[in-house]
Amino acid sequence: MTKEQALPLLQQMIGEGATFRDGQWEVIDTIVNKRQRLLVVQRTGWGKSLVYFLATRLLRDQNRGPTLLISPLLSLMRNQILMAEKIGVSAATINSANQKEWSAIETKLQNEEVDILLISPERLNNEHFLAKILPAMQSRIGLFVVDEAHCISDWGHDFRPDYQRIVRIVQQLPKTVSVLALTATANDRVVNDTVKQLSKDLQTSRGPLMREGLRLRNIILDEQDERLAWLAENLPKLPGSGIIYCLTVADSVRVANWLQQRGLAVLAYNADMSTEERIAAEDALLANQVKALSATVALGMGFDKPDLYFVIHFQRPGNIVAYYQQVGRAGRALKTSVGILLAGKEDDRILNHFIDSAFAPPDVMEEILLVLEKSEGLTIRALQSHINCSFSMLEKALRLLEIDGALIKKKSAFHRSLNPWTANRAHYERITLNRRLELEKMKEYVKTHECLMAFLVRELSDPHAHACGRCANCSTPTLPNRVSDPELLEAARQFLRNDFQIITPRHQWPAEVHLGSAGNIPVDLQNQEGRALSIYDDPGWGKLVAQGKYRDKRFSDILVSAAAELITQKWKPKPFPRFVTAVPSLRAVSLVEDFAQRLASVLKIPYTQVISKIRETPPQKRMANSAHQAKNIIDAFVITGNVPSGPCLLVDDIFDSKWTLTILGYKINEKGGGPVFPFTLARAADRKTLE
Amino acid sequence: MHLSQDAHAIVMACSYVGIDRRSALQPLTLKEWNALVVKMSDSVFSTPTGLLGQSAEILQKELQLSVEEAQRLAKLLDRGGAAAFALQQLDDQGLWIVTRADDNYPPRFKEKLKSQAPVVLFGAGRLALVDRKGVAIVGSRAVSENDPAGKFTERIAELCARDKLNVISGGAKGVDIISMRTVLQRDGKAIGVMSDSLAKKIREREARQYVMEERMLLLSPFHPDAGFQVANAMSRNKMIYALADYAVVVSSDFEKGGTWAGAIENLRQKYSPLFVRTGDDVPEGNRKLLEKGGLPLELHEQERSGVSLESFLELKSTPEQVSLKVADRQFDLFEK
Repeated sequence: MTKEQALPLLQQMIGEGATFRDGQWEVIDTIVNKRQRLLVVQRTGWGKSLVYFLATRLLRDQNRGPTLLISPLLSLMRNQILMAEKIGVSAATINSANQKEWSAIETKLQNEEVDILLISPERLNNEHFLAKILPAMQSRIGLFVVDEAHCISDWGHDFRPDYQRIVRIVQQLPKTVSVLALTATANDRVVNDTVKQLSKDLQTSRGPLMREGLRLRNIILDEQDERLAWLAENLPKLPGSGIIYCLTVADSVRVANWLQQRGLAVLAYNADMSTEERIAAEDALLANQVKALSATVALGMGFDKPDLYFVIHFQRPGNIVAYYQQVGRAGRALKTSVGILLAGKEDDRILNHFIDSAFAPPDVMEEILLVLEKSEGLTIRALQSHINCSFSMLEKALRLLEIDGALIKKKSAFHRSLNPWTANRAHYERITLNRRLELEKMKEYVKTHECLMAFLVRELSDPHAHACGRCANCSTPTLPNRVSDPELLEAARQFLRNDFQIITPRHQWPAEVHLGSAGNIPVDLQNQEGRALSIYDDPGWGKLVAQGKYRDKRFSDILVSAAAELITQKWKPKPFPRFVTAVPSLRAVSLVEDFAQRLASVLKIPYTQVISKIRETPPQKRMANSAHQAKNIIDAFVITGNVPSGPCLLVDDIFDSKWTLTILGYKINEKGGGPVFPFTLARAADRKTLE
Repeated sequence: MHLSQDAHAIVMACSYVGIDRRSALQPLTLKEWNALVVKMSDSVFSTPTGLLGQSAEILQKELQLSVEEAQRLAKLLDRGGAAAFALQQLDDQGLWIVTRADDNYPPRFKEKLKSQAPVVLFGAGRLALVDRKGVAIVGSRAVSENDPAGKFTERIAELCARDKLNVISGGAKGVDIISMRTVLQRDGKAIGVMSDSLAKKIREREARQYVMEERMLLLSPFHPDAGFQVANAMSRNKMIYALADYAVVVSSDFEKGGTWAGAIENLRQKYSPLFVRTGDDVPEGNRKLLEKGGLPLELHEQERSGVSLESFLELKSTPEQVSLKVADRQFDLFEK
């Protein structure tokens, strides 16, 4: 098949007069005619989907098996399926959200009615996929496509362990199956690593990365209230729609709530939302029903709005490549577009935390294997009782060990396999060091005086980097770099202070630890929904709480007033508490009890200590998971004296797993006090989810 | 695991790897593969690799196959894409494959079994264990440790451990497991040729530990997920005998059961010298095997001899009369 012969097919697909973009035909030729393996590095918007759809069409016409496309994200897949249908390539996807369609898709595969199947990398190991879907493809694969191939490299900005599954499968593929790997963001080091892992026959093809029309800008605003105020002030000045990227889920919610309060149509978008909510938010932005989405990296690759005018970063991302990729979502089909990075003081703390918690410590991985070696299959829940490690860390460790072939999962139980395994500590250390260096590079970018676009693409190993003439360093920026309205700034400060948290009650004991009977906690012994004033150490009250706990050894009266205001003006628990009690410690005068006494006084209700701590316990924050936390304290407290009957406000400084509150609430309820309303000064920071 | 191109082609043609249970597609049997190899030698395809990527028409023409045979072969060979997943799953469990085309294929299989040597072998553990000398210990599933038969089994296995001989057996309950467990507990080494459920076996803590310590090797000519089938259990017995230098039958039924069938086959094919437990309480099968040419084995005789088990068995299995001087005693070891 020559280029001339393929042209009519291209035009049939996208319209008369269409021609191949630079490099597109060469890729198709390599895959279809030469049946070779290729890594394509091209900027977003180059048209990679067209390339693999056309290649699929040509291969299918030669009676080859269907294409298997591996890609990480749901949103990508939905768009792709629609596009494929439009150009005569029948596409299907198997993912966790479309389970109802699986059996119909299986039938279609068996009848050779599917040209391309799109799946995520986790599915490669899924029992249903291996047992049903793959056989339905008649076990034939014509073309294997790996999208976002940079995820394979742990030198890359978006290393995903599940991509290692792809590497292992590709290594087992016979030479007769073509492989096409695609990425928009890979510097030389990442490219070399990807080639090394995937296949030494992998050739590389690169395109230029400079983005015409995109105007870049960096603004340093240390405090979050300044950045929130800046957004409220300047968002209305920007035409069109855009994305505001945040580092954490809490931040994405905070930014959205703040801007909504200021009358701007902004929705949050993060991984804590359901699939339906996420689809709705994406659709709202695509239909221009909102000004922006305040999003974490969950709004990822493949989300394509060609007329997106701005990408604003609320906090500094961890590395250049991630920034390039995220800011690159702007202006794909516009003459001009804008990328603004707001850098703040808290960015380093957050980013360093991500780096620290990226890998499960090798000790934990080795411990998991030791425990499994002594058993014949344990579920993750059972493992939690043996290993003092958070649920999410345990999940990460198990996934890595599974990908490494050190354990096998049968139904929900993990078994030790025969493959020997040692932690490659040097490897992890090298990667961690590299990530810290990339952090520094990003800081350099924020402070640089040279062309911002040239800086970015040079880091991505593009040899054609040159001054763009458009960025804030090449020409004059228009938007201010400070907040001009002091009232707006004050409003932002207030907003941060009002950012309280909800404490949802626990309903069930963990495995092997309980009061009374195991399983569910009786409803009349559970706590009511409670409140926390802040997130520990976060902007707003959180900082003051941290100061009180460690620096001053006393929680300030300001916090007492703030707490009282939250309780009486916003929360208004019903029935209103008739007494206040606090979680004690073994020390003579505890910060918490002192705070609770002052709070009770302002609330004008009596303070009574009804709980006594009878033995010392290691700090709860060292207990990394639910089972351990509960076990740590279950018998450490007793009720002393008479418990007044009637509703109770149970006060502590920080809540984390909620076991202390749950167990104490249970005991107070048991002795006739209650309903029990928990209140804490803060929610512990930095835990993603507690199971 | 890394398979050579030839090995890959053989695995596609001759095994269930990557074939869905519900599929009608059947891999080539041993007989069919042997016939194909003959045809290949007369054709343009000098190696199995050459078959990969060929259309059914080409295969039919070059190998003189029927249309159905050619289509079946082409289909078997074209499943490499999806088989990659199945191979990866095996790798994840720590299982590997070795084929007749590979350098490390156990030479004893080729020497003793010739065209009956299994084409594809699944395994777990250290394959090089097959290079050691060993004693096959086989017998009924109904034997327990407390029977005289069980105690006999343990004793032989202990001697193997002491004298650094492999115990080779079938991994089934009864004699097989007693012999393998005993030799392993005494710091010796064992090879188990499984008739089924290899994947399940390596999830057992005890088995997994021995395999990881490289003291137990598990092999099977059947897919690791295969369940028990009598025919399979019978057909793998020859592999046990072929791997061993000597074989010992502990307890056999007469004219029925896998032990009987395997022992008769061994006597006929002479894979390894066949010893049979003898004594007052042995089952009828044992007595009949002795009549058919099996060599009697009595434990106390071996113990009195004072020589190693290997020497004892070696001497007993050679037809010339041999005298052995040990200290000041002389033994006449060959009994008519």
